[in-house]
Amino acid sequence: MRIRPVITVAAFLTVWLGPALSALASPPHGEAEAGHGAAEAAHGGAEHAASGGIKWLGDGFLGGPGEDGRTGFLIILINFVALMLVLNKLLFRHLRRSNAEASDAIRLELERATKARSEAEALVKEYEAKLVALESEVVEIRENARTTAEAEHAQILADAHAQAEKIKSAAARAAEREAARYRTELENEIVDEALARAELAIRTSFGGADQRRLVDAWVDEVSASEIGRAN
Amino acid sequence: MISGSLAKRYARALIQLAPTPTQRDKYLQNLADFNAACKTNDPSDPSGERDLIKILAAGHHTLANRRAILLAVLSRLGADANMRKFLELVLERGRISGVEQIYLHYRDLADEAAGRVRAAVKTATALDPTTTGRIKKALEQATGKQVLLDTTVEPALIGGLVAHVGSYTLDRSVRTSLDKLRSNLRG
Repeated sequence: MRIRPVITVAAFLTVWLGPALSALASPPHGEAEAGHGAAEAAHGGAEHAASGGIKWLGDGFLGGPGEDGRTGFLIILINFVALMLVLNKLLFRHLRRSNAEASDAIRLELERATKARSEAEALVKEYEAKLVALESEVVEIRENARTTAEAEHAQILADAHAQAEKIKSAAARAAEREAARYRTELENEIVDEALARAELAIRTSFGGADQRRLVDAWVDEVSASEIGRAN
Repeated sequence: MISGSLAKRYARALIQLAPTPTQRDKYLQNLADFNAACKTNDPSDPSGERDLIKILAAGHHTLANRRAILLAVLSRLGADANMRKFLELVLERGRISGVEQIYLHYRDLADEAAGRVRAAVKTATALDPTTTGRIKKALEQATGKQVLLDTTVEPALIGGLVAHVGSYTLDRSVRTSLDKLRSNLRG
C-alpha cells in the first residue's frame, strides 16, 4: 500500500526535481563562457551580473531549464511546495496519523498503567487494613477458642462427674439388689428347711387325737356357717 | 369333647324328659352307668384308645354299626327307652364324645332339682363312720341340703381334712397350714 506513493514521489522527483537539481549542480553556461573569454567578461559586465543571481523563471517550457540549463527559482519553489503537498498527502499525513495513534496508544497505556497502579495501591492499602483487622481477629478467635475450650472442659468434667455418680449409684443399687436377692434366697432356704423339719416333726408326732381335734374344729366351724344359701 | 354350653343344653333337654324325681334319678343312673362303660380304665391303655367312647365317636365306622354298638351296650345296662333314644340322637348329631360333660351337667341339674349337693372330702387318714357322719351332718347343716359325700384318703395332707362343696373349699389341713406359714414367712 505504501509502495504506490513512493513510486509517485520518485517519478515526480525524476521528472521535475532531477533536472532542476542537475541544473543547479552543473556550472552555468555563463560562467563557462566567462572562463572562455575573460574579455567578454570585461565587455559585458552587467550581463554577467545578471546571469549569476537568482533566476526566477527558466528559459524552458513553463519556466523550466532552458538552453542555459538553469531552472527558475519560482519553478523550484512551486515544485517544492507541490512536493510538500504530495508528501503531506502521501506521507506526512500517514505519519502524523500513525504518530497520533501511537501517541494515543501510549497515552492510553499510560492511563491504564496509572489506573492499575492506583488500583494496586488501593489493593495494598486494603490488604494492609485487612492484615491489621486479621491480627485483631486472630486475637479474638484465640480468645473465643480459649473461652470455649474452658467451657467445654468444665462441661466434660461435670458430665464425667455426673456419670461417675450415676455409675456409682447404679452399682450401689445393683449391690443392694443382689444383697437383697441373696438375703431372700437365704431366708427362703431357711424357711424351707425349717418347714421341712417342722413337717417331719408333725408327721412323726401327729396322732389320732390331733386328727380328731382338727376334725372337731372343722365340724364346729362348718356347722356354724352357711354355704351356698341365698341371703 | 363338646362345649360346656352345648352339653348343658343337652342335659336340660334330657331332664325335661323326666316327669318325676324317680325318672330323673333313673336317667342319672343310666347316664352314670353308660359314662362308666365308655371308659375301660385299662392300665395298659393309658391314652384310652380302646375306650368305647372312641369307637362310638370314630368317623371311620359306619353310623349303623356305631348305633348297633350303642344300643347293645344300653340294652346290657338296662337303660330306659327314652335314654336310648336320647343317646341315639346324641350319636347321630356327632356329639357322643361329649357324653361325660352331658352327664356332669345333668347330675348337677338333677341334684339341684332334688335338693342335693355333692361334697368331696379328702383326709390324711381313713375316716371312721362316726366321723364321716359328723362331717356329713355338718355339711347338711351348712348347706341346708342333702349331702352326697365322697371321701378319699390323701396322705400328703398330713392331718386334718379338705372338703369341696360346689364352688366352695373348706380347708383345715396341716399341709395347707404349713403352706400358709411358708408363704407368710417368705413375705
